[in-house]
Amino acid sequence: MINNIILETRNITKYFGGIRALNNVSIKIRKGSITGIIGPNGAGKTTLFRVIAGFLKPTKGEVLLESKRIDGKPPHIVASMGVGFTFQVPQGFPSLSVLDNVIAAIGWRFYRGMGFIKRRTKSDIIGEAYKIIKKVGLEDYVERKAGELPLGLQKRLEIARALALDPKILMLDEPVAGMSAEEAMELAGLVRELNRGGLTVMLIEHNVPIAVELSDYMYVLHYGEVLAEGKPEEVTSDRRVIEAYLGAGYASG
Amino acid sequence: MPISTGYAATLLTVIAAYGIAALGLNITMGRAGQVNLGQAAFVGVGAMASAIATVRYSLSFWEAIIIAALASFLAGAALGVVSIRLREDFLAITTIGFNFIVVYVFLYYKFFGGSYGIIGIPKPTLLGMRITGFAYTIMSWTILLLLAALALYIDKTWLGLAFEALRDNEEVAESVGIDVRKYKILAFAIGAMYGGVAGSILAHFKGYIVYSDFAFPYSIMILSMSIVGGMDTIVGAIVGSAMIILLPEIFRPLMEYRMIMYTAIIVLMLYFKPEGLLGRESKWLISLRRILRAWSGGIRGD
Repeated sequence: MINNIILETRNITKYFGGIRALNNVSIKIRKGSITGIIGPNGAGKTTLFRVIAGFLKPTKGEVLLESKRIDGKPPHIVASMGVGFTFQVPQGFPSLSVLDNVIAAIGWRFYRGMGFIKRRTKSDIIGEAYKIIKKVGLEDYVERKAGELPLGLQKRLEIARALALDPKILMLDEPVAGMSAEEAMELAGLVRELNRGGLTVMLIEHNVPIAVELSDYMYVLHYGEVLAEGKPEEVTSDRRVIEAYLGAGYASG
Repeated sequence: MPISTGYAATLLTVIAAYGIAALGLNITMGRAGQVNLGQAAFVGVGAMASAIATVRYSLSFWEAIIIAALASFLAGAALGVVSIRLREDFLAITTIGFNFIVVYVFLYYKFFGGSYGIIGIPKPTLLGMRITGFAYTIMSWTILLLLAALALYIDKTWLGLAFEALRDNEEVAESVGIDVRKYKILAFAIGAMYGGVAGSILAHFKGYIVYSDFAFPYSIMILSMSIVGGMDTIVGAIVGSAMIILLPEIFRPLMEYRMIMYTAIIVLMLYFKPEGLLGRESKWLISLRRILRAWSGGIRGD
């Protein structure tokens, strides 16, 4: 049990001016797990995500990837160290094709130093990109511009780009937000499949049923603090969690 | 109207030089999405470096053009560093400011010739022969083609993709391991280097340069070349340069109203044809490609 923690935050506190968005948040993500982070709006989920990804510096606390500190490192370093992540609102590179979106992420090995002068149009690189595109089910859209894809497919492209980093952990920020129930189930299926292939997943989700269904372990954030943690069924039956989601009145009934 | 060879050589050389400057702008702005409204400043840095290297330090043109490329590369990198956190409007204003600063430095420091400029900039020599007239034109176009080839190569490298990623979305670029700061600086430096080479070619062609040759209106001129041809293309920069140089030559009265013409062209193009005449999706380019394909097909016999 000692060495199977892939990502850990220790007492992360983050202030925005006088507002405390995160307070002593400590989470551990086990290798091979799907760990869900749920919480009502404004609980600090996305702040935590952005701290881990390197877009925000924590006011206090540490982020460790395989026991190495990554807090304070810029996002491009965090990404190349093996943290793949998707954005809540899919953005991608809208003017580039699906293929180039994925190739851009495969390039992480070449962007450091002088590697950028190498050609990227090599058959092995393109082959690798095709493999990833197939994995997320976008093989019919290879040449389409990312900006022209419907939302559901853009979310898949987000995942493809993160996979191209060959990540140790995949962080998904509300991957099913804005999707139809059917699309959401399909995406959940994809996430489970990737996890079965050995990928550790950290899932930030507003949608509790999806998170419960997918996660092996869950954390509940509330007002920037870890309110509860445990197996999904334990967490969802926890009084405090029900209160946080539905208000105090419901818990007693 | 009969066209003298001297006149044609002059026009063609100027087209090549500004084509190179516009090509640089296409890399910085078209590819990497970094607004640069001060490209003429880099043309100036290159021209000054080349003029000073040959006139004051008696270096050859070939050494001087390399120095010009390096000097403008560094000037571009410097602009990249100071504007690292800026985007769009603020970046635009900063680059305009940079253009003014460079011009005033040229004016107020004797080293750069001040208001008299630098005269007696020598013509290049090759194997003991002075390169003048049409030979100079051919040399300029050769350099243009080499730099166009370099731009094509960049498009095929990770650098080219990093530039496009940066243009599309900086945050997503970071998320795939692209060091946005590094590539912003490189985008300015490489685009500026093209400007510097253009400056060197212009300086040795005219034999005389003065600070006002690199003032802000020239940046707008180069910008209009880029926009007319299409920021996203390589051929576009050359076609744009040819059109913007030739238009006032053909319609002489336009000469007086050049600034209005550039501005009008920019506004109209952005409104009706933002991708430029030869932009990726433009019908011109598609039909041009079709003709070329039919041609090469005919040659190969398939």
